[in-house]
Amino acid sequence: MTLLALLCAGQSYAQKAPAATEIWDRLQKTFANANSVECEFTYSQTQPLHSFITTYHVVLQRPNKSRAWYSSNGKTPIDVVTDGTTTWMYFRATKMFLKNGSNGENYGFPLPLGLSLYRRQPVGGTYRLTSEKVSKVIFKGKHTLAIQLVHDDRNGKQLSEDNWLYLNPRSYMPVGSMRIQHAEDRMTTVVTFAALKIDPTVSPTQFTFALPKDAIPYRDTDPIAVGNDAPTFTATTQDGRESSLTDLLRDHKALLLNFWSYG
Amino acid sequence: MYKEFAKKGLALAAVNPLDGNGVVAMFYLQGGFTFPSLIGEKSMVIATSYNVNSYPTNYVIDSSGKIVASFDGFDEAGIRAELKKLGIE
Repeated sequence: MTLLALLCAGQSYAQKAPAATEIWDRLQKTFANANSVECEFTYSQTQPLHSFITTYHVVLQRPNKSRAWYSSNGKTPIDVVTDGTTTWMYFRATKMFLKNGSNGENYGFPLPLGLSLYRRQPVGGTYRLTSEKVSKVIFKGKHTLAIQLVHDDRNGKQLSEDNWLYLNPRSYMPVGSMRIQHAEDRMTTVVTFAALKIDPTVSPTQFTFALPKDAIPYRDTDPIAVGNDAPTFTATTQDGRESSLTDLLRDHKALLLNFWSYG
Repeated sequence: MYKEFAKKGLALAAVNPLDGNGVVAMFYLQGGFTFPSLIGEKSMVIATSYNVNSYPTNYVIDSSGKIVASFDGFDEAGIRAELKKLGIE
């Protein structure tokens, strides 16, 4: 069921942004004879928790001219390496979605070995940050440090938005950024990465877009009909407690159950 | 919307089966949310049992545990209308 849910998630993104077929058509028309393709697209979602817009510039290599497209997302931590002149930003991509004709069926399968996306980032002298501006260390990756910066305007007044800068802790070069704005109980998140390319260290022969044996076709399911009993559950909450449907409903007139994903 | 209705009897619970716990923690850190989020392996079981195949999906459940409405996406006006029928406005 995990695979199905991931497929479904990919489907939902495709509905929000340029449709998957639209992106693919554009790629095919523009890069019919190239062995790599590029596109730029934006996701936007509005949710009770937050709204976000994500713009990606994606390059997909398809040495076998496979009818496949890569679905990138912002939820996977990035990993970054540098050779001193170029920084490579890796997305830990795990899924490919293969369009199967025009009947709306999608197949998803793990990415072939070596299909990584990276971003070139020139070395500059102005990226080193002073520690007093770093208010939080968000996470530490193998080559990446995500920190939260406090920005002051010209009058020294702290700005209301947070800017997260992903840094290479060796070179202190920025490798991506995220901006989050607060507005009551909603947020706007803007994540922008650019110039993604396929990892050049991987041989094209390592790319084969064969459908795995256990791939299952995507089928839409209808929501549970009104009037039915809500399925009961018990699960762990983000703060480590156990909570059930009964617990949540207790002393309340109604429960809004919100299924969400960062993307 | 939750802040507005929390004192009027609305419970809110978020389910996020796709993102890691770190992502959920990040949003709590940033947003200062007070409602629970159901995470971990069981959150995927919940999403499956509720036939969730796109995100966001919202269900309104009444106090007796019956499903009152479901929304593919975040339809604030629609959710408000359903809550109003349950005396939350």
